[in-house]
Amino acid sequence: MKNLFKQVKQILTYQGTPFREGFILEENAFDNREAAASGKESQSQGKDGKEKSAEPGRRRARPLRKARSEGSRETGDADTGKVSTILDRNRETIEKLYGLPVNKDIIVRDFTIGTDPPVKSFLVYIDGMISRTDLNFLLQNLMLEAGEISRHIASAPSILHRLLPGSQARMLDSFEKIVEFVNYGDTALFIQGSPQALVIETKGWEHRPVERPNSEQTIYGPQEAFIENLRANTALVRKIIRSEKLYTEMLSVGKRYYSDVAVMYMSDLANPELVKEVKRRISSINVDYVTDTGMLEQFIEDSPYNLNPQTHYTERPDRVAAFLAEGKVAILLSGSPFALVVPTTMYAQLHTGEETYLRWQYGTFLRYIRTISFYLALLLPGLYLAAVLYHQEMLPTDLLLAIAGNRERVPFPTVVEILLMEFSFELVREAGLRIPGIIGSTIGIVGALLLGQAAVQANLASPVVIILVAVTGLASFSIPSYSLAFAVRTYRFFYIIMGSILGFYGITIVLFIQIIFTTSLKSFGVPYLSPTGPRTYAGGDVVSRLPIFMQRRRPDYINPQDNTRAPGNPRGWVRDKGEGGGDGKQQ
Amino acid sequence: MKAVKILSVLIIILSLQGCWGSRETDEMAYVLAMGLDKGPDGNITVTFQIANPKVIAGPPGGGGGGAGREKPLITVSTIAPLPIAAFNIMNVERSRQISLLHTNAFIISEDLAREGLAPYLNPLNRFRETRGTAFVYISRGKASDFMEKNRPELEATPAKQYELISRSFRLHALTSVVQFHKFYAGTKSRDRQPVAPLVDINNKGLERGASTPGALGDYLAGDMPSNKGESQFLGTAVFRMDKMVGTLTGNETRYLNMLTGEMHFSFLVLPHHLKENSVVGVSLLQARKPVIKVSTEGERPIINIELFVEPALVGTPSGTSYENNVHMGVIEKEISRALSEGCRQVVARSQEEFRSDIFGFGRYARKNFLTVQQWRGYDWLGKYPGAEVEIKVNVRIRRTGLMLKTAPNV
Repeated sequence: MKNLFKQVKQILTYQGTPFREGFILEENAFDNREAAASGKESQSQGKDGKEKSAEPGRRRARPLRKARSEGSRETGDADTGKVSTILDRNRETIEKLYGLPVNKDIIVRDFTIGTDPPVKSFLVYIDGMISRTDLNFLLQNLMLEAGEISRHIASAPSILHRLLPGSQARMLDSFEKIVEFVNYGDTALFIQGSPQALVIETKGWEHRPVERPNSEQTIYGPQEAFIENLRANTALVRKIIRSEKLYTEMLSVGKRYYSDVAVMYMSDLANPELVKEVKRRISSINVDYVTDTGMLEQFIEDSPYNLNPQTHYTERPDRVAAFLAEGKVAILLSGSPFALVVPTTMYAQLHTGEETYLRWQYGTFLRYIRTISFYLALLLPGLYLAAVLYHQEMLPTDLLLAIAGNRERVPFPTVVEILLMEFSFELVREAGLRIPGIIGSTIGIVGALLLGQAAVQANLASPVVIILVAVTGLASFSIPSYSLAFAVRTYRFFYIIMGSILGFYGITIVLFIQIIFTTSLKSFGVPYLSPTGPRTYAGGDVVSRLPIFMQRRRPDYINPQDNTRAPGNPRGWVRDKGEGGGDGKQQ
Repeated sequence: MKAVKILSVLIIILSLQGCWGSRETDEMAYVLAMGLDKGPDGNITVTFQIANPKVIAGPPGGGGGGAGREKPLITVSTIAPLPIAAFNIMNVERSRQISLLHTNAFIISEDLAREGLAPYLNPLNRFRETRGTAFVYISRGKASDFMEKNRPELEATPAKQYELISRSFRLHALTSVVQFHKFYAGTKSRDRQPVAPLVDINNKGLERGASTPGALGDYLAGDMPSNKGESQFLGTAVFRMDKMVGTLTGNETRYLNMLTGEMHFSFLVLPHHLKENSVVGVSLLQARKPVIKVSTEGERPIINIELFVEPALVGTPSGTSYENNVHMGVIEKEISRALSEGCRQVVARSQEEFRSDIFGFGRYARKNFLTVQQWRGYDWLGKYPGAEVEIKVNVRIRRTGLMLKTAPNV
């Protein structure tokens, strides 16, 4: 009877989930760590961890790593952080720093240098980050060739000078530095009795080869794109600009683990104030990590709340080189296949390198097409809505009747129709990008065709709107800068909304606001709409592209150290009198 | 917080705009043409031609069977004292808001026009939706009949027909073109009286009406031999202020357009200067605008007109070789004589019969006066019928077509 009562009670009352997993990710295991300051914190942490969870390995990753690395620095500091002459002590320090033998990435290779007498030593490197052939060659030299070369060398300097075949090697005595290099694929050599360790460059991790550009394709011009390797990227730029005036300054960002940042500029062109500002902004970044130039961009741009992109994001070394030759500054980040160029203007983002490579008539043609498509992408649906809803008298009668006739069976208001199709288009675009490669492209085309055709057949949208949305979509694809295309697409929705609420008046309002926002925007001190707003020397390469020999000056708005691109007549074989117009006569 | 304040102010301002007049196209019925007829008891009969976009645009995307049976245009008439009132009252019959935004033509019957159009033009001109660029036509018969029977076969809508007709006037110059705002201004003008093209449906077939033999297009609309039931745009209605006072045939309209400088291209058939029953066909181009000088110093105004015409030979069935210099000189004189005679007759009609300055000579006379008051005091319209008119036509044949000489008929 009592048992039955208990069972009924169990059914009726709330029991809570039985504790089966044996693991709970505690919220505040490390929260009071900072308050506890120094000293005993690591002990208490260990205790907490043991008490609260059975598996220490599944703790929250971030605080754990932070705690460990801080702890290890402390032990390094406790041992003065210097390389000891006693090999075993060095080995202990390395084991402590890297958490051996738990951490399986780190390889410590003990061996004896084949001098007379033999010297005990060991190598430290990270598996997978080094080149095996380099390492084997190094070991071969140290173990076999050493004896033949000398009888009384056992110290780091002498080995560095006589035995190491590697191209880059340096002598270091601080563990902090050594670990930094080992983390980046170098090998450290510790020698018995030597107060320094040798760090030999053996970087050799897997990376992509240089490939064709994916997001900035052109027909003419170089077909190389940046890759994830910083040094390869700087070399790609330097390969184009073969000048000793091309400076590459290395900075680092990221407090938890840092990434190298290369700031490239022409020392005799770039305005020193600009270079200083770029370096100031980068070095002031205080964040745990930055892995891509896209993240870096967001830390250094002028107005994060403006829609327009304020740095030029490019994957083409030839474009970077062209900008550097104008006096701009390029920022490359290790591990990112894109470079940032600052300062940038809206016009620069509407250009591709191709217009310069093509003859000027064709280049100008391309530019005009792009200018038109920029306005189409921005305004077309908004203008359509405004005209059809408020200003029907503006459309030719036959066009209006065609629009009206096609809309007769569509049950939605025009705004809904447009928004529906715009949304579908964005959907096709986004899905086409995310769908795994092989089916992706087919889905994109099939989706677009099917959706449009079916929407018309089902009387969900009128054919005019389908055409309109498709043209708008194509136009937005023709904007070369992916970021700027995003800005345009976002602005477009404002135009759609205001066009449908207030007609042309609403469109004027948004245009006005957008112009004000864009004009007041600056990218690294350069007005975003220069050289047209404010008006400065344009140089014949803004909306139309004049013949290349007429472009004799660099853009004025960058304020480069040297304004002149071509001091005299660029085409030496032609007598200067007949050509070049005003520029020619001045000289 | 600041942003919220600014935003709320913006929203309030925006929502107070008086621009909530959004109308979907499927809430509207577009009137393409409007007809005005004389109605009972001083009222007018107003006819609307409303487009049915469903039919005009064709069946969308394979849907909609049986759309072929629906008519592309709906023609409805009503009786009202004023045209705008009529248009407003029509809303009780139609589910959609009737709109004049796309009214491309006003067709007014001759009966109504002869009584005076001022009471109807004024409200139309005042109304916001009326298009100033709409065309005005005067129908010789009832406007409603014309609109009912006028079925352009090449065009989807009569709106396009009216527009193209106004352009094809440049090909023959046998009619005139007037837009609503100019017509309205003309009825108030002291310098140039309005004219309007005549339209009618041909109901005589190929039967030849009364006309001068040899002259091309010497008909009024509806009289030109053609298939029965074709709508014709030919000839001109002449107004004195807002009242229609007479008509010009197509042939006379050519001279009217020549004198106003609006003739772009026209054909002319002349009797042969030597052979009986033979004609010469020439096409006319106006080399320069006419030079017109008006002297208002004397008792009667003196109007000097110099025309510059460049004909090209088109048809010489007689076989005379007009290409040689002797004959060319002859025919140039012949054409000059014929043209000046034609012009003189039309001007004479306007002075004596219509007493209306439809050529706009007043605009040249106006230059002689320093102030508007003086000009008004001169009373041009009263003096015009008594004006002396001298016409000189300069003719120079520059083109002989694709033939450089004519071999004589053997």
